[in-house]
Amino acid sequence: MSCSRWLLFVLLIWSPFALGCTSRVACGTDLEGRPVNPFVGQSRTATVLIFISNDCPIANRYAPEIIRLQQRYGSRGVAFYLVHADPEEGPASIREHAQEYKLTSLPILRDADHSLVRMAGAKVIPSASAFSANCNLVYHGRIDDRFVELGRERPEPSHHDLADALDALLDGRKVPVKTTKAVGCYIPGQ
Amino acid sequence: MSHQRRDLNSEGAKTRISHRARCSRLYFAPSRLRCSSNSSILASLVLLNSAAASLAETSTLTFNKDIAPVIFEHCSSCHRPGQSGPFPLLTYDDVKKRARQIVEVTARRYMPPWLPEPGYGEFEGERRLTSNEIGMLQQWVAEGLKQGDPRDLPPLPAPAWTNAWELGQPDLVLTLPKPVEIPAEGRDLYRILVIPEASPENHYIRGLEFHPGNRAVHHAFFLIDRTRGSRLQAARNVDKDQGGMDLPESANTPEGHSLSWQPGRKAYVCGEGMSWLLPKGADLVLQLHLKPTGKPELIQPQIGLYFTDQPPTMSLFNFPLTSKEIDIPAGAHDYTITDSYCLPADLEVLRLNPHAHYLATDMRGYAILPSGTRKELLWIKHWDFAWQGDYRLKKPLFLPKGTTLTMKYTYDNSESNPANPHHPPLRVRYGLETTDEMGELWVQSTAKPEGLAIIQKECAVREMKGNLTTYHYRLERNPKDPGALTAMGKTKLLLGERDAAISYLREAIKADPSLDEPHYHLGVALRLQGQLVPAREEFQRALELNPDCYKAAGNLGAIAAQEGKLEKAERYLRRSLEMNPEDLSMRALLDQIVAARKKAPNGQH
Repeated sequence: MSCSRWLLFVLLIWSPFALGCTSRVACGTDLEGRPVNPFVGQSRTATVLIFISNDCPIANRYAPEIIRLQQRYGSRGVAFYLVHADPEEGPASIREHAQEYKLTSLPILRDADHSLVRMAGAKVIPSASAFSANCNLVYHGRIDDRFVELGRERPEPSHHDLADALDALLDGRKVPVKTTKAVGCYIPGQ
Repeated sequence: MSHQRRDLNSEGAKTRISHRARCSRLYFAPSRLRCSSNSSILASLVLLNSAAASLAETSTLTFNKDIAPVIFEHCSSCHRPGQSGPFPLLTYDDVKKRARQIVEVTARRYMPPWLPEPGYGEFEGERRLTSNEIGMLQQWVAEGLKQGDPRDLPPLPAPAWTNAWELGQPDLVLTLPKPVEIPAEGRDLYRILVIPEASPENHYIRGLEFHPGNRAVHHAFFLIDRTRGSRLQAARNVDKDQGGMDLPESANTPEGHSLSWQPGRKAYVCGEGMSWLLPKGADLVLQLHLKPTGKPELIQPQIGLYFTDQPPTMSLFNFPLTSKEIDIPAGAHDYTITDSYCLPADLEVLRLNPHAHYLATDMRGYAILPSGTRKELLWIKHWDFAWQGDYRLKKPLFLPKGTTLTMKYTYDNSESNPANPHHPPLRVRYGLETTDEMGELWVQSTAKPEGLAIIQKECAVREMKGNLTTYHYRLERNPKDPGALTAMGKTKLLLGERDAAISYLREAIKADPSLDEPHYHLGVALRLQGQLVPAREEFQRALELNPDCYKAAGNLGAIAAQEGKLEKAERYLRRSLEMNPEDLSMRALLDQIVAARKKAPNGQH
């Protein structure tokens, strides 16, 4: 079943409950190869896609911070997804990587055709894209500013950009900075 | 084609002009990459573009012919499985996948990592790409990443690129008794780790190869400890984040050497006549700079040692140009320190080792000969603590007596320096922790024995006087700092100022009566003044406070021997040697006493 047909099916069945977006949707696939629309879910306040890969050392260094963000905002209705956009990374290696970096508490999507990448405006691993409940892209860029460029880092981050964006969104404020420059590895093909 | 490339193989403006034909296409693909920010180059490209178009057409670069040689030589030794690079760069597909990143990091000269500027000293193992090589990578990407003829592909340079040893199977492979675990995240870590009793025999070492075993290891420094000092300190600091910069006094680099490793660094091979001694029973001490990786890591590196029968024939000596008066105001952009030293004898420079922490930006070292001629030693424009290393000169540099060596380092303690450990910036002074600053240019050199002796003596006094400044800083902060009072007393003692030494050491004991060190040094001062009874009391107190203080036990043995109490002397000396078996003077004294007691078995007590 193609992604859009599957979505239509899901929306028809779930539309009375689903608080997701009904347009501008894109799908990833889970590690069993089933299409997943990350933007649908009950009591959803926001959706965050975090683009990572198995071998980007900067993305790997963010693993503990990603888990912390999910724990902090998950209870406030924010759904987090890890997205692997490198088609060369297969389900087995992704699963192994998630075990290694203790990322198994987050749902993992593959995005081999880059439909999520395009929707999220992602170019770099690691980067985060946050969507409002009605599926507007409200923030995309770095998780925080620890890395200034490849090889130049702060001892600790001084701006927590993704967290600031989510705080604003959840408090009903305007997101202070919509776009930041992510530092890391390029998403292959982007 | 190849002839043309040879013409382009020099750096500078000339290269840029002859290179413009190759770059011409880059101008039309500005969104894919940045060829150069130099607007004058772009202007000349525009003018010459049409003329060059046909030439560029015929000079399409391919991976197999043009790019693989550059990548294999400069990137693949780290970017292969089991090494420090996070992904492999061994095949066309590997390089194609990372092409955009490669173009960016090479243009910025972040990769391959090499700090010294060209034209300021010539060093072994230079990893710097030429401007032409960087331009070729850019052109290859702009031309669409052509693979080319498989027959053009060179073999990988090292057939030994398995995970084996670069210098062949070592004579001795050492590893930590048990792995050290580091946390998944946080600031960079510094750890001092000990491999006890590295070798059961004396061995001269001609080479050292380090296998980090984990990408978290970013830098390693190796020392030898003939005592148990490093072991004791490591045991005290276990599970502590602090203390990783504060090397025990008893841990030393082999005379004149500086043994270190960083990613991409080739194995340390000693020059002819420059082997070093690994003494029987001594501990090998590792100082590691570790970067958390996102998951807990177990660190257990391996060190391969290569033996030789040849003892060193050259006298090597390492001395620093340095300033310990570093005191950088918060927010200062360009704080500068300098130090100069006029050579009292002829000298040959073999190796340079610049060192500072996170605030340093620009480092220069140069020599003014007696004739007034200036010789550049080293220039690092963008210091990066993470890539510190030492640089062996391609050709030893002879400097005659009367040459003045100078170092000039600049620091940025402002908010705009991202590496600044303080946010917002704080006043930073000299100190060993990475939140403090340092500024050193170590000069590894050799000289004729009589000249070397003069230089060594002068440098020892220079160092002690420099140290006094740092102890004064510490006492300004806390007049009752027992460590600073002890260090002050000890240094004054070495400079021959015994009365001042005794007064500082008594202050230290008052500040913290539980420390053994001030008692020990006070004992030494009193013994030098001929006051054996009070000296003995101080040594006894030191030994009570720290039963491992072998130096106090040794002194008690020596005093007992002086007083003719041979049995007591033997007991103390044996105790001292048990803790520190390599102390040759103690060993000799013990042998004398044992011989004397054999001659008169009943005459002593």
